[in-house]
Amino acid sequence: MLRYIQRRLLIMIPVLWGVVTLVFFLMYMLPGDPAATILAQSGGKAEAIEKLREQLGLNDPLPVQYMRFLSNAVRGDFGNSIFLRQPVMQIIAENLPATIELAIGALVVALAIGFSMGILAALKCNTWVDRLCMLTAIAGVSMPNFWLALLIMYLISAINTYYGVLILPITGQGGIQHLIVPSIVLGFAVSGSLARLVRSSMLEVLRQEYITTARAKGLSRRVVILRHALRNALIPVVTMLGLQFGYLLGGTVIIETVFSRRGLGRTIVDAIVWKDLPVVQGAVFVTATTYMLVNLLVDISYAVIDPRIRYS
Amino acid sequence: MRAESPWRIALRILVRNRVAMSGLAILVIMSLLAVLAPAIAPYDPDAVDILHQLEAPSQAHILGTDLYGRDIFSRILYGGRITLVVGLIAVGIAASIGIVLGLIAGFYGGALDSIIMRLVDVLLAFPRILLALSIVGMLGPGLLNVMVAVGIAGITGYARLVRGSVLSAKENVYVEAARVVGCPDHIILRRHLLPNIIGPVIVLATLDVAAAILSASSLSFLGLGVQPPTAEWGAMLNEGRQYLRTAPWITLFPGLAIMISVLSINMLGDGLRDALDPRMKI
Repeated sequence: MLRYIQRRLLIMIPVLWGVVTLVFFLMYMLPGDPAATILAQSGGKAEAIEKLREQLGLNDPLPVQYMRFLSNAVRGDFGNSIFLRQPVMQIIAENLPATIELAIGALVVALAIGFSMGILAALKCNTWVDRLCMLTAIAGVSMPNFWLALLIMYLISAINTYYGVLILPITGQGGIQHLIVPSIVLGFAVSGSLARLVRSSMLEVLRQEYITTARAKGLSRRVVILRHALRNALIPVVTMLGLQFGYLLGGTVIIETVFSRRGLGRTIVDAIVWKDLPVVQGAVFVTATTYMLVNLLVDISYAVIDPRIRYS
Repeated sequence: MRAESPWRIALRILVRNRVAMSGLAILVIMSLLAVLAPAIAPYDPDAVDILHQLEAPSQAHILGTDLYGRDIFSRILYGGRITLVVGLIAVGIAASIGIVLGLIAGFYGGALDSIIMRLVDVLLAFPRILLALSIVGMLGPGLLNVMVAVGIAGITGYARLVRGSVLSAKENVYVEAARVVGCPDHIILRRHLLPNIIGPVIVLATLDVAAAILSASSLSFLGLGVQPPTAEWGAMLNEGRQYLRTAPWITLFPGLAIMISVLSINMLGDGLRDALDPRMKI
């Protein structure tokens, strides 16, 4: 197992190199001159721009710039933000926890709704309960999350206006209360695809002979469903969770913006709007790395769920 | 007696699927409304009418008006043209590049396969919307750039699917037979392999149109996609955000339009999956 993890981490190195390279070239090809952008507010005289270009190393040949970027990135140094004038890594360190918190909150919501709906639909297969669950699931997948966010915001503020009580805080940072609404919005879409997968996976497992055997032995329905069926139905679901976590990380970009929350997603959007290249590069790189590590964790968790899987 | 072709069987299964047919019907209606927008729309979608700004739905404006007094219904009709076309073109870009990469990687194997798949791995390391966002950041906001960004961000799915299918399909006797009679590679790829693996690709592409519409409207919502005053559903939602409490209809109806179109495509895509590729059932 340990060797498998080591090997996977080694495989990550060339991919990370590819990610850094892509991030560098994406931003290198950006139209406009970063030096001119930095000095735009203060008038931006040609001499000053040229001096800054020299300082930033923008006049060096492309391979030199690339190698410098690469060696800095290896050391976790993406330079300073153009607008905030802080080290990029410091900005990321300040914002990453909020994003991870939101993604995990959304994952909890997605798992809770997705599993309940999926199991219920499978057990009540071909009844109105099944159809209702699947309709909700496909609606969840099809609903733009920013729209759902705005609808819930409207609903909560309408309740507040009408009854004079704020049932939950909608925007900004704070304790777990501030996390509830954004997590529900972000997790809802994932819960839809999760419910569909749990349903079909459960139906597949419930047809197996060992389920009939377990029932014939006189085990209670609850034990059969939770211990025999669900555990076996989990494997395809866990495979999807890795991909869905990527969706959640990407989704934070929108949810953080709508709910005015601090986080890496919002940092990226703001940095793109302001053309703050070092921040975009650093934040995109960190998000991609987080996503890759989560996928590694998902792969490792297979062995925990299914003892038949052993990594060599 | 001639055996029925697999395509006919698939079509028969699809036609019997009521959910998929409802999805198709909704999609056809929405497309018709978008195409016929100039004939149906009661107002010019960009016509500013300061005297009627932020008006609630009424007989004159059935879905209300926005901050500039523009008719929401007319803007949704015109917006449909953009949203549906963006979805189709983005998927066209993703599928055409992804299929070619997957065919080459799967058919030739070796170093070419490794290079292509490592590139795909790099793209896969980015959550899709983040990759699209970064590309738009590079290209700048705008309709064409959104289509390109969402398209490039979707390449990986096709490349992996096609490569996997080619790896197993190329072992078939008909591929060997084609080789023996001296068929050049591009003919084998185009005429023999592609038609045999295209089923799951069609399913992926259909469901992907829905995903592309959501991604593109998300970018517009963030202000990085289609620019004002062009009517586009995501951009309309963005404009309505500030007036959520006083004029919720500006936000409600474009969002509903996005949801109905994405839902109908998903319904059709699910039906296609059941008909064309029973293994992919979710």
